[in-house]
Amino acid sequence: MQESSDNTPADRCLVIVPAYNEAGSVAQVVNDLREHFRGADVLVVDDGSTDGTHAAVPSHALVLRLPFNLGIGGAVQAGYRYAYLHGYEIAFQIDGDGQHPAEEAHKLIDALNTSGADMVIGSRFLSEDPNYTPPAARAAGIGVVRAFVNALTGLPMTDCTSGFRACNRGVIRAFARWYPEDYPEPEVILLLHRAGFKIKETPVTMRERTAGRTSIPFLKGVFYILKVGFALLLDLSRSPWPNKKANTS
Amino acid sequence: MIILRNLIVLAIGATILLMAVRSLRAGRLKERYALVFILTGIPFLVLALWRDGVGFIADKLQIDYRTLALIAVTMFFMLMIFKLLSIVSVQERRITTLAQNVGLLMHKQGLADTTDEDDSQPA
Repeated sequence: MQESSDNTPADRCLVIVPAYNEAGSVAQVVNDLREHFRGADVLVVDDGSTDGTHAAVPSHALVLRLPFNLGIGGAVQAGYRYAYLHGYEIAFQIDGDGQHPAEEAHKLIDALNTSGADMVIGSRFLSEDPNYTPPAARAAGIGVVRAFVNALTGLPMTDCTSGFRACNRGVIRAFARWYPEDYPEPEVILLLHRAGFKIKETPVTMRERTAGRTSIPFLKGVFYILKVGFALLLDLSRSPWPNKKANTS
Repeated sequence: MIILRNLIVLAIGATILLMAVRSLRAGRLKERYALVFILTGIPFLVLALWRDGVGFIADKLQIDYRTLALIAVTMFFMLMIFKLLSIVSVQERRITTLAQNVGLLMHKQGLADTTDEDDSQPA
């Protein structure tokens, strides 16, 4: 296991990289993190890949192999459970497909340390000069989900489906205890907000994925939006975590 | 026309029962859950062969309108299916936790780099 250096802001920070059949991109992601985000431990959660993703992970990263595919929620929660069990103070989530540039990671950590937020989300839509432009249909879908989340929380979120996130120990503890399985990104915002956690966004740039396939195929987008809307409405009646004060004590 | 209607109802009931039996034989369905499908399929068969079955039930339960009797029976089976799906959802959550524990333990034991025989098989 790579040791964290004591003089970096990323001390006791775990980067969680969920990866499903990302053999073509995961090595680059991990190497970029090593170059641009020194001091953090990198954990690749191989979510039951069948293309040898685990073998493509450089040796300086940790690998947690799940026995079969659980989906994004199950894979990410496995990472948070690891972070909780090993006492990490900060967990950082980054996709294994190369969409999230490692050089942007420090922005989230800086925001987490200075804003007093419990979770910081990297938003591609707050960036002044975005390198990432989603296709029109995808952008429309993101807009609908954003409208749902903002209406239900009252927060001015711009990128509710971004998987580029950093959180503190309190949130790690909550996620280790329970995590949505099907539509985790937007659901987490609503559930954390209802539990009293503070959520902020910070501008980041993103790029097109370098390999693999999206976890939400284009043709299923409309159905996805309907299901997310339904799940968010159900979340209004859920309280999977104690409130923030009880959770962090 | 009545015969055609009976044949359709008969086919629906037989299909449900056949699906339940096939799933049972293939080991995809446990006996306790198959009961729901069997209890759903049998009434179709009975009502196909016994045209006044709904009227008989309505009379016995002192329900004035036969349609209401049918709705009551349908609601009962919907509740049973709802219960079945609840069980499946709980089991799925447990399987997720179990799989995560397996992954964490494999990591702890340094087994993450080992190659399974099933690596080439789709999950």
